[in-house]
Amino acid sequence: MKSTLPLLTILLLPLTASAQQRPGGGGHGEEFIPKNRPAPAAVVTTDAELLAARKTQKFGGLAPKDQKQQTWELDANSSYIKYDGSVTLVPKGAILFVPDRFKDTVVTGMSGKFSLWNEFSTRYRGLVTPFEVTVEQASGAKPIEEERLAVARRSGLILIAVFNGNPISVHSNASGTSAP
Amino acid sequence: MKNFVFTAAIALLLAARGGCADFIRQIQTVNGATVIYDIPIANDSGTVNSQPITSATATFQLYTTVPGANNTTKLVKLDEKATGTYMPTVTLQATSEDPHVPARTRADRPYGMNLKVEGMQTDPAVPDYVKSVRMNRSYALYDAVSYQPNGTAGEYADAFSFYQNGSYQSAVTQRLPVASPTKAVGEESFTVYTRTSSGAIQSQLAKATIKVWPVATAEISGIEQDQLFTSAPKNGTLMVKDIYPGAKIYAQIYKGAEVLGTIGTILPSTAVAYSDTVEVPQNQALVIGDLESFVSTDGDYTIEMLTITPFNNGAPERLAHVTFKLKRAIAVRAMMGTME
Repeated sequence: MKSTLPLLTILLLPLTASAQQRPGGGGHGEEFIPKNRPAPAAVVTTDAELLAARKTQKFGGLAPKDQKQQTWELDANSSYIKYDGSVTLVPKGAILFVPDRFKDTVVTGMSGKFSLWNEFSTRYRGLVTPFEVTVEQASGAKPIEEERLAVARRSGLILIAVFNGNPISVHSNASGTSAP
Repeated sequence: MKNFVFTAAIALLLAARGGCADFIRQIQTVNGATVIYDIPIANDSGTVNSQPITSATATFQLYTTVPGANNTTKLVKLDEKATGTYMPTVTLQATSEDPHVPARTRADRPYGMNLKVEGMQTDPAVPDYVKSVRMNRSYALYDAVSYQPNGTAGEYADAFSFYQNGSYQSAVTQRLPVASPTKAVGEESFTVYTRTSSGAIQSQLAKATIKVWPVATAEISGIEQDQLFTSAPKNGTLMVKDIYPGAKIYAQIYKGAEVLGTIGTILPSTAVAYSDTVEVPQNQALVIGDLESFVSTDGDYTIEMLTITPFNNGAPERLAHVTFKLKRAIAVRAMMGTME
């Protein structure tokens, strides 16, 4: 047995044995313990007992880091645009054009205060602009009209492919660009 | 071509999540190419319609923001669901002796994982990649003080593939990678994946997670094993750590040496019941106090610290015990003299 608890701890102990209701149904006092409780039936499990029980079960251990399940990871399938401490993300392939002056705003990961695309594009109209595409264009089945794209590029803003106003990835067949 | 409209079962999770920037990511294969589409969520609750899905399958992911360090935000995936024409319906449920929802158990207790697979395709015309599902097991560790995720997570090597409809049950013992297995704090998840295209990337069909809370421990101070007292002990204290959420704890005293299964007298100052609203383990310091009224005659006495949880059919479990000896001293005041 260990020696007496530090004085400060003891001072903080509940000093009364009378019933003290706790929020949500709990409480402090003998009346909160069932009168018809069964006899103590067990001693809590020790590490040795638990380890022994585990040995009876088949277990393959931890998976090597390089065998991680391939899933639709957010970072691997997104592009990030950071400006003035704010950051937004769009699907990888949604950035159709980045003018040289804004190259540094396209970053590889999430850092800063996140805004959804609709809020970010409203706040930074001088940085990004939406460019509507069809699902066929997004899939690369149909190309984006080059003339329309050229006009949009002349805005000098980052072009983000959107479908009904929301960002969408565009296959490189359609945009003629490789996704940042 | 099939058209589906996803009416956002996952979006319902958004209830009462005010102030967060949430969005649904829709991933599908269109004309052989992957198309990813982000749908912002404007409200805290309700339904969100996806864009029409012009392929046999689609994956939906629900993301939200959580505060990060230095006024930054982090994106966290709350849920993921794959849907489609040929997709099997998968139900996955974690079960425990503790009926609490969401599922939780104690580090030393096995839990159940029930999987039900329906609608698995066998038609030769159906692509092979939707004719099986794969179940993986993963973990996340929690901080032992705050009981919140500490960022350490990973997968176990065990993986299981299912090719047929049916119900599958398994009893599982937690394997959280920590030094002391009874003090493991964290969660384990089973996730069922399928592929929505011929590529290697897996989409989530179902996931079940169970929280694992540590086994409680207690320490009795101020009364040593076999210590001889000449009056009833007055300075005993208890420190109980990792009390299971919603558990009851109490110390009892009885005459004689320690015998498991004895029902003694509850020491009132040590009896605490935690409400059902308590979601994480608790620590509690307690005073045993003056035992005079509990030790009428001299002899050996045992104090046991017990806990009542949903485990062991609700029977109390012993956390700690100590036996002391009481032999009251008799003070005799006498004077001897002689008379002549």
